[in-house]
Amino acid sequence: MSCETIENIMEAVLDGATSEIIPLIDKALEEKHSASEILKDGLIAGMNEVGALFKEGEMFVPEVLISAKTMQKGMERIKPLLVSGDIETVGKVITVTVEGDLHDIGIKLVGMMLEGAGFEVRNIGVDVPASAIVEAVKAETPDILAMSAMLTTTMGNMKEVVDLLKESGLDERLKVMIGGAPTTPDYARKIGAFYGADASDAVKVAREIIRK
Amino acid sequence: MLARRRRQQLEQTKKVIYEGKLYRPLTEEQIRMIDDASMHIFEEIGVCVKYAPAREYWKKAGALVNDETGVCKIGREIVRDCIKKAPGNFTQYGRIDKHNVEQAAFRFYGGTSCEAVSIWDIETGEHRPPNIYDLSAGTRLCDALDNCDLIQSCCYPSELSKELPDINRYFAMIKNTTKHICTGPYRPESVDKIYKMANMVLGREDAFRERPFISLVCGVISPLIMDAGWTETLVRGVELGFPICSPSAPTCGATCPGTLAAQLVLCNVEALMSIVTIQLMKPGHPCFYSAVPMMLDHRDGSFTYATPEAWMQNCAVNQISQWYDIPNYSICGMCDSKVMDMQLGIEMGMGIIMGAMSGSNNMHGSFGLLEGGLTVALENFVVADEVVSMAKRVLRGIEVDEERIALDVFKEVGIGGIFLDQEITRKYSRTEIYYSKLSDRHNFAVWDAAGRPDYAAKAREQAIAIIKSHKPELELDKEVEAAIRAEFPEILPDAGKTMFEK
Repeated sequence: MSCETIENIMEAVLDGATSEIIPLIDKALEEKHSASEILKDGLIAGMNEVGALFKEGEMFVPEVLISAKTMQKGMERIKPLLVSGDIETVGKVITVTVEGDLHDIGIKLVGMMLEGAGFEVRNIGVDVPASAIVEAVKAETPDILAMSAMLTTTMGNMKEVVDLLKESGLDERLKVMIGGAPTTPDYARKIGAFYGADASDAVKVAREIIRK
Repeated sequence: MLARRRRQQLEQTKKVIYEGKLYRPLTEEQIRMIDDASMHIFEEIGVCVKYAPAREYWKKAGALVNDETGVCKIGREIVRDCIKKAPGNFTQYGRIDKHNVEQAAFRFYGGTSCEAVSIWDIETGEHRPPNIYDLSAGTRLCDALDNCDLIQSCCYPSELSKELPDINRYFAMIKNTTKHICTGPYRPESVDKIYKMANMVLGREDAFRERPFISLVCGVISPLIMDAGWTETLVRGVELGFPICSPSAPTCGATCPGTLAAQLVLCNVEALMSIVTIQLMKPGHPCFYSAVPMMLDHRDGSFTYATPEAWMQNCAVNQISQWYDIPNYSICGMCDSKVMDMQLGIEMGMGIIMGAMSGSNNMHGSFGLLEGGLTVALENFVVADEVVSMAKRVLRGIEVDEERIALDVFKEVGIGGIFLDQEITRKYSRTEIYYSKLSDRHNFAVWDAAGRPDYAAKAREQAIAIIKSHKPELELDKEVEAAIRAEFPEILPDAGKTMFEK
């Protein structure tokens, strides 16, 4: 079921029209469209298209981020109206930058793109010690832990986290993925994690992980 | 009839103009010294004008002419008068207006150079003599690529007879582009034929005078000789309305004293002697200040195009032309490398950026040939298109205004914030930055996963795709083509076809 207003919502996400999204959603609600429809056929459909265009090189990072901002704004408007079960999260992800490292632009971009792909994402910050990461995993029970490092010196902390998770027995259900400039597929293999080469690759990997 | 109507239907857009005023190798004083020395040569040594009809113009203007030797000595006032008469701006027309090149001081335009005698086969990689299909493909490619403004015959089709190569060359080019063709014939007799063919293409006798879409490139023999054949071509070309490039091409130390200063003096005299001839014939006729200074490698006598001196010299030529206010014709971006390797990359990069920054109006060689102009690799045109784009980005410069300074955004986002998702970043994300189609900027993992794509291979792929899919905006009407072929039976049946259209 689609109609012009829903299509306009999708286009507003594509265009990153942050000032238009709320009036459009209100209009859609007036026209008796369900919050679920607005979410799936408007907001998520828009972000999926953004993801595809980004992968093809047709959309650029700043444009993607503003599209994501637009989608988030729309999400906030309809969240209270969604019935539980309306949002089928694909999976839950905790994102974090490891201890000693303050870089988070990349992991934030990954988070935004994962949200756009229907994941629930919680970012727990930068410079987070292994023990605190493990605590967060215990508390939130995510499907995926996504760790980021920008420095070769902090990369080693990723192994520490994986080892600690094994010790705590949390590694059974949880899958770990890593990314960031110094990380490599080889290193990921060595520590028993998945590797995401860039933000859109990370979404692809996360989807594959969930499917397994 | 049909051709004119179709032409009127096409959308009228203009070329973006880029000006290069950033690199000026000479001081005002140095230019004056070169100018003064040139005038001494005109007055005391003279130049040899071998073609008698051209000499008549010099005689009439008051030069001291020796008809036996051909040597003409001329006073500086006459030279300066001719410099003044040479127009500072004129149009090199395309067959459609959007390809018109509006020549004026500092404007950066470029394209291919003449004329390779070998080609790296784009499909097999074989090094072989070029053929008519290669010329058509190269021209077609240049028609498609945004940053090629002026097209020369990029390679000599080896199957053409030595007696009658010209009509085939021009026909093949006309079939494959609507941009301005700037290339010279091998024989003076060809000028009338080219004029006739051009009029047939435009659909009316003498139409070429209103839309001269071809410039002729002639030449001189250094030091100080206006060769008979080339001058005959030049004279006939002026009579029929072709803009003229008549480049001086001295080799430093061989045909002039072995210093950069002396070479510039010789370039100046030789560039001006053609201009003098032209302006005495027809004041106001469009012509270029043309010089292609080349260097020698004294270790073994090799000609070199891609050296720091050669680049500086060509940029100095451009600067001197601006001093006289006559559009320039020079070379930068031509390469000495035989293959598309690191040497080629360096040579193209440095040559093109320097030439652009000095305001090269007719930078033949920006779409460079290899081996000093003897070998062509068609895929290199795709690379050149990128390098020229990057040079133009430099010429566009840095824009600083209230909006771009974005103080309000600094305040809003604050210390330690991110600006990637700010509207101002998005607004300028497409225009502040030049995006390469060929350069790979990924990290190792992504590049490795993609199969370690090779730069030259990418260029080749893009070139082949363009040659296969691109068509020039105007196709010759079947009747017009038939009439041309009937008029010039030496035109090969496949002239105009690329290798993929055989």
